[in-house]
Amino acid sequence: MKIVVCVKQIPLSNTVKIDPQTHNMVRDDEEGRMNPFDRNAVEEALHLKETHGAEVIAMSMGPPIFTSTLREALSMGCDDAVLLSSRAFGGADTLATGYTLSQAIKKIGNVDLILFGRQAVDADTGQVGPIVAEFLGIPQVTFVSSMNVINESEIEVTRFYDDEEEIVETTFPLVATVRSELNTPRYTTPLGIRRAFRKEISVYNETDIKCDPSRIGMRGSPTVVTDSGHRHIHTKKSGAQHASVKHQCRKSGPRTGFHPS
Amino acid sequence: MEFDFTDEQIMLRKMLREFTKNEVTPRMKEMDENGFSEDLFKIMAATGINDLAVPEKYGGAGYDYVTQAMAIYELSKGSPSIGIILDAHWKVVAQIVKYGSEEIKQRYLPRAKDELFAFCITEPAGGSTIESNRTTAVRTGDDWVLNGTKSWITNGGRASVYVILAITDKEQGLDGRTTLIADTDSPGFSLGKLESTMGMRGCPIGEAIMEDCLIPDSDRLGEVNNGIEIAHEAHDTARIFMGAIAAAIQKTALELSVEYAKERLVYGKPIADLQAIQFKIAEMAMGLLSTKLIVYQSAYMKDHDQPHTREAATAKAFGSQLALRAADHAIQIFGGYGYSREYPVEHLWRDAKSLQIAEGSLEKLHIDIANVALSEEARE
Repeated sequence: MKIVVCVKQIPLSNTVKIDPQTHNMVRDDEEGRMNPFDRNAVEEALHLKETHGAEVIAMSMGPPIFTSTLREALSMGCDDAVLLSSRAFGGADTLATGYTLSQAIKKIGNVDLILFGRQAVDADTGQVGPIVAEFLGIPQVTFVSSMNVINESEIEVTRFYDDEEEIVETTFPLVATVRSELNTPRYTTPLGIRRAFRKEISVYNETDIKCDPSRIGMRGSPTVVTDSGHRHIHTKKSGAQHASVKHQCRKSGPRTGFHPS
Repeated sequence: MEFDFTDEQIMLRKMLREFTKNEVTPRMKEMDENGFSEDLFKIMAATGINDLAVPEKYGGAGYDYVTQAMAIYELSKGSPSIGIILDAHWKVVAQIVKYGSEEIKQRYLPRAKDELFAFCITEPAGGSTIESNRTTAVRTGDDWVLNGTKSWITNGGRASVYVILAITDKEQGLDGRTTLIADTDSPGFSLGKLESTMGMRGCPIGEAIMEDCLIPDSDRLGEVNNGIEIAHEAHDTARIFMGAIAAAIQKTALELSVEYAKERLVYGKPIADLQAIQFKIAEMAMGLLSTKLIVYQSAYMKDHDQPHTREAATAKAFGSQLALRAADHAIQIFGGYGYSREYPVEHLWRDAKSLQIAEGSLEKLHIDIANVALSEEARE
């Protein structure tokens, strides 16, 4: 099995800083951390590697400082890491990010499972995983609380939302976005850290992953943030997250969304 | 001159901070009351912390002394007892790495992950004065026959590997000592009583008794009659780590004091507004900064094979005085609550005191440092 785990580096502090002019998030933290739900995604990939055998590739998109989160994924036990980094990718919204990630996943090729955290706790959209599934034209299961591989081509997945469980039987290749209930992420280990720093992190730019220039970065981003309000990420109620996912489902729908160029 | 940690060390520090917050700090009180935490030791083994000082060739992560000191500092913020346990453990690892034969390294170093090591110098007749030791080792064929009692062994009673300093040639005085490695199942080896100590209660301290204890010559650490050099090296290593524990105690004392001083109101104002409190806070902050500097400098010198006896002794002597003072200030700032066992500051005071006694008393270190200062070597 080949697994890609998408991880996002978020600011170390819990307070999201918003640029008053652009309404975009300010990312000036030198030392970031891995989005907590993405750690569950990495843990699940490593668990599948240990129980079923798999090659696990961690992937992220962002400036070069994001390598520290990829190193963290490597030190937990991922085999390889890929950073999508280029000025041309800058200013991407969830659509452009999803497109870029899906192009990179195509470049890697023969990927059976793509894992995401259910959402990043800085921007809270939860959209990128589903968008990647649409671009790749493969099934997606969101808010996953348990995974059970049946055989080489089938998997049983439990979705958990609004205090209800939905058991889905589906096939690989698959995109899954995971909840914290899925597992307890392992600590990185001193030896894991040592080995992670000896590994090369592949850096892909727009040419490497054959992007349509009009679909990446600012140009490929139809979303404009007009008002961010003033909020702290921990004050948000869980109901709002659910609403945003429902909205996403209505908008893109299965198989009818965006098509790869 | 480079003062920054590498990105790799920063990631390890981040991991250790998370581990300390989740696993060590919540067990601090429990260890103070019930002693060594088997549970925590198992988690540390599984997480690869116990053997981070062991070279990769023998299964560890192979981190240098600066990184080891940083690890002890971070973990000791959660519990100074864990710092002391690893200090005693890693000082044995360091001597096996430096003086052990390939066979010894292969046999013992991989065990550092799940088992504890201990270095035995002190005897009931004397601590810092090695001259008064009585334990002997007599060579008979391929074996050494040991007789004597070692006391105040850090990790004693719980460790399974014991490095023992013994007299092998009485005529040669201190140049007639040899270090031998005993296992708990070595014939004639037994464990004695456990000490009940004032502080560092999470760390086992015990006795080892050798009665015609048989150790094969292949378990001799280093050359015959070179034991004092190895014991001194072990002291130097441990004193750096004890400095790191002293820094951690200061850090905790400072953090708790700052938090409390900002919250505690007197006449409607936080006590942090009072200069009497601010002076104590400033003293603690200055002490922490200087202790960390001397700890990392001496660890750096050790990593670069530079003589560091004076620096390591300073890290422990200076650091332990500042740590006790910081813990004392913290109790004073907390007032009645500081004296209560419900709050963690009195615990810091008891732990800090041990740093002035173990691994060479404060007085002994002053003499060592003065000897260097008064000798020809005092140049710069």
